Amino acid sequence: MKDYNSTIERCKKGDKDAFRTIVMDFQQMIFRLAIKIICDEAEAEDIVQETFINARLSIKSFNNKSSLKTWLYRITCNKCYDRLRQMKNKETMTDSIENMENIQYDNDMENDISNKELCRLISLYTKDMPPMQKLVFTLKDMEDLPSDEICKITGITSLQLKSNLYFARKFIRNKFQKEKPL
Amino acid sequence: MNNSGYDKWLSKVKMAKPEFKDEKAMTDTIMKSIENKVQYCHRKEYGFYVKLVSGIAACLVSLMMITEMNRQNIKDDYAITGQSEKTSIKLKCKNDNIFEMYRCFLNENNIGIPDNIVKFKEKYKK
Repeated sequence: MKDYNSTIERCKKGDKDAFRTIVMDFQQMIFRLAIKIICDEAEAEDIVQETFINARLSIKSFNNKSSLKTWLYRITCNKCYDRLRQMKNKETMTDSIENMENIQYDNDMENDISNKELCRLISLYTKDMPPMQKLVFTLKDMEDLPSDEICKITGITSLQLKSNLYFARKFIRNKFQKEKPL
Repeated sequence: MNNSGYDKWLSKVKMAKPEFKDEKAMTDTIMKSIENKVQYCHRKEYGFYVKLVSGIAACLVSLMMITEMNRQNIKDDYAITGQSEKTSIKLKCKNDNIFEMYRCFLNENNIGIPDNIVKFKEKYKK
């Protein structure tokens, strides 16, 4: 794991190149997380920008208690959580799923899937899932993050994590029971 | 319970490594956003809009775009904002003063109209 201590110190002093290094190293990681949670490519790109703007504005308060990755994940998750709640109210996700009905799904596990197909696949079984359950499920089951890190990122207790994860898995399994399996 | 379907679905979404292709363009946009204290938001269908980081409504920029496109006599002016024509006009009436402030902000910070909005305009030129 790369050590970012000196880069962070340079960022705190206003070094643009140092911050550019952080952006370059983490932008794809943040995009990957955001698109899996939000299931919308354009929204995910917005979240990448917003995350780094927030990070830049608050880098001085970064105190090395967590890793830079965890800190950036935390900002991203907060943004995604807010966005999920907004989207739930506006039913944007329902619309985007309906619009993606005609996308072809390739069953070959080895094949790469496009961002759009991925959004459709995730939306299909996580649509209408409560935002915190979706966050926890994405971090734990899709991203394989350790539980203690997820607690740091989301700010919930390990008990809440277990409970959210249980209901998220149950939610998706119920969908599989009701809907046509892949 | 259909475990095989669930497991297959989970493996598929876990394995996926979504990414945006033009990393450099994204890095440049982010750095420019930070420098100018604005956020550039891409929208496939709508072209482009800009949001101030300070939280002033994104619609202000939409208004700038509408005015700019009206000036160039482009018919589909409201499409660029993603809002209905009615909403755009309503916003325009309400926010004329703020809009002028926003124009000043853009001028002071040398924020020009980005490339993709220019392309969008060309597409919709009569």
